[in-house]
Amino acid sequence: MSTSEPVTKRDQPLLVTLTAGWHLALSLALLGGAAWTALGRIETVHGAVRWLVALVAGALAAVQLYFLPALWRRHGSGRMMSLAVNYIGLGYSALFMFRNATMTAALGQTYTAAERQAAAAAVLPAVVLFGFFVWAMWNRRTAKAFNETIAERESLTAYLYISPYLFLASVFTVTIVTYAVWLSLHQSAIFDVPTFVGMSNYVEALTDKDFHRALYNVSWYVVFVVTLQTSFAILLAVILNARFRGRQFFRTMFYAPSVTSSIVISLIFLWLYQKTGFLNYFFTKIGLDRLFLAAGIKARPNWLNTATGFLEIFLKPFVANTKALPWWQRGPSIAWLAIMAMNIFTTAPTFMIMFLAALQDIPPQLYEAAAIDGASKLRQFWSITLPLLRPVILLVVVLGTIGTFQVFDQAFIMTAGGPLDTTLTPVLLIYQKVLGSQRTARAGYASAMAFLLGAIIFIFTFIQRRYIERGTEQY
Amino acid sequence: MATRETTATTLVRSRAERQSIGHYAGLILRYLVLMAIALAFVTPFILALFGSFKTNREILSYPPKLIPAVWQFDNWLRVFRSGSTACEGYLGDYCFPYWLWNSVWLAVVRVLLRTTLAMFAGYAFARMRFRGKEIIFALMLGTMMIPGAVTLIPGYVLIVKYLGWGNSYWALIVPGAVEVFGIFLMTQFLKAVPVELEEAAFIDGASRFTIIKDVVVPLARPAILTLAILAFQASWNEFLGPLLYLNTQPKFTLPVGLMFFRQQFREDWNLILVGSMFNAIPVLIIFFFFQGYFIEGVSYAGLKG
Repeated sequence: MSTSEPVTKRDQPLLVTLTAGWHLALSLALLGGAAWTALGRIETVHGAVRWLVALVAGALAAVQLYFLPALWRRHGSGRMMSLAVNYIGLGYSALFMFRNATMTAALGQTYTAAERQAAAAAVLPAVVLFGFFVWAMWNRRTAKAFNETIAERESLTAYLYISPYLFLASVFTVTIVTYAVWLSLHQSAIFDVPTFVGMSNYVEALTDKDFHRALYNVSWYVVFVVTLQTSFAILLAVILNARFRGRQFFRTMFYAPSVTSSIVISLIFLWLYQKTGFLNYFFTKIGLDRLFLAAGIKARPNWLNTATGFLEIFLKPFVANTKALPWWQRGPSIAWLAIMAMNIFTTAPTFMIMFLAALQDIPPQLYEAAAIDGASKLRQFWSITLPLLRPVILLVVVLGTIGTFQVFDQAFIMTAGGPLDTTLTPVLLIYQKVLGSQRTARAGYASAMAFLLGAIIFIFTFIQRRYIERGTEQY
Repeated sequence: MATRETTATTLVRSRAERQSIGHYAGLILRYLVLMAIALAFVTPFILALFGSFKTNREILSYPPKLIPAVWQFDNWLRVFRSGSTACEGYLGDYCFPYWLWNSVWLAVVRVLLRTTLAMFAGYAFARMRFRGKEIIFALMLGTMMIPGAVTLIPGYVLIVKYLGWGNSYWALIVPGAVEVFGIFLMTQFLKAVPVELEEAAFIDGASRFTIIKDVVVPLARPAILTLAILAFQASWNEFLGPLLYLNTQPKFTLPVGLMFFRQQFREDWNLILVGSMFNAIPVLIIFFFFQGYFIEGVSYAGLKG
């Protein structure tokens, strides 16, 4: 094939003809598959997944058909699309093959090794075919036949490098979020066919007393933990941000709790918080036990089993019987405060590191100028350090809010929601709704609660952004 | 890490001032405060470490003592021969060694996958030109804002029901193989590295893959190590994922196993503490040796804002 002559249909390279034919066949097959799925002929695929599969297959077929003429005329765009489609096809067939070979149980069935192998082998032809076409499109002869430019080659290689991310994100992020929306509109145990119930899951969640309780608890948690951990983190960073011997050593010591797993920290604190634990010993030694008695809790309480509310203690002089107060007037329980304290202890050092990095970017000239003008250290902190840290404070507050709203590990291990539901959190409730016991598994309801929680998190972080960022502009 | 602490301020302060009693008093006060804070952060670990060497009678007695009366070094071996016997295989009949091993190999696999994939994707975002790059990058960062709680249950249902990965490690390995933060960190790092070396290699006729293998990887070693360490920490400490997806005792990882341990040995605190130490010590050791990388990673997270 000489490249100097104009391209005519007759000397169309074989690979181009083959590729075009393959794409035509593929798009027709995809259209058929989309129709078949949409009609509900595949038993195991139903609901949102059914429409999702049909939609994706239909869209892929449409895109392929649209670019077919460009492919035939050897335009760059046609070639790019054909490669993209082949990648996606290869990815999905590989996933299905992989899934078939590894699936242990689905839809209440368990599979034997032989069944798994057979199911995996069934997808093998698709994998081989797609693989062959990806290879054919990649090889240099096809590249030449399609008049590939250097920029196109670079694009293709780049997409190859990010394809694992693109593929996994499309399966596990896009699909799951779509599925979450759909699921929240349905009544569904895990392995049943879901039934559409509209917004009733949301309505139920909004009137669910347990959910109110969980949101109430977690709100206290967010307010206390975010405020205190951010303040402590700034304080620790400022203390460490000076030149002195052993700075590195102290940083290491401070940071150690942050690298340990939440389960280990929870277990250790579970032990420390016991009635006979070290904490009570320490408090008794420094004479705090009398204060506890005055506050209406035991001198040596089992901290994680004390349901007495925080506000209850302060209302005691004014209210005859604090036990008769409704739950939402009692404030966070002592047990919940104990968990908060533990969480502040572990996360403050993480954020300290962020502040430390930001502090080192503050130009020292500012402090020098302030010192010459006679500003005290405290004044310098308020007028220079804090304003310049504002962007990082925003970030830490937002990250802290997102994290604390979703607190689970600590509450699950240490108290499992008790005593008297005072440490129940939304994620714990969501977990219990689905996996508390298989009979009451309510995946749809749990999804609705998760969306409401997500909306609350979004609103909170949005407000924080607006509020803190507005101040940033002045500097 | 070198501080850009005020060199001029030190000049402004007079020599006499620096040598005054007030200066030394301040210094001592600073160290006292620092020691107190450091003690507060380390005490729980020290108490737990000492507690793991006590007998159970001693651990529950009040008032508690810091140092064990008789050091029970045996506790650390006993943990391998305690608890559930639901497991069988080459590691014996007790479950604890399997949990430890599962955590180890799972961490290794996940670290390798995450770092490799993040490296290639980060390279593409930092160095290559392709259509839709900005949009994909922005969308990718956008997905970081989705709270994990929202995708928790639907993800569980989808993976168990449609992918059939209930009680299977694939449910942990495959969805977690790429991590947006890792790609972001890699991209930012490579953008800050000069491109000249790679261009020189390109002119010498090296293919793109060779350039990545022989030029980019050695250059990006700090970022790769940071990523690997953060990925190890995440995998080693992960609790909710294994709790959801792994249902039988032989498959548990150490954190889930520890929770099971706690349910089984309500009052055997010495064994629970030994188990906790097995989970805490590897991460702490890695942290002590590579702390610069941990801190680098967290500081990078700060750059997002």
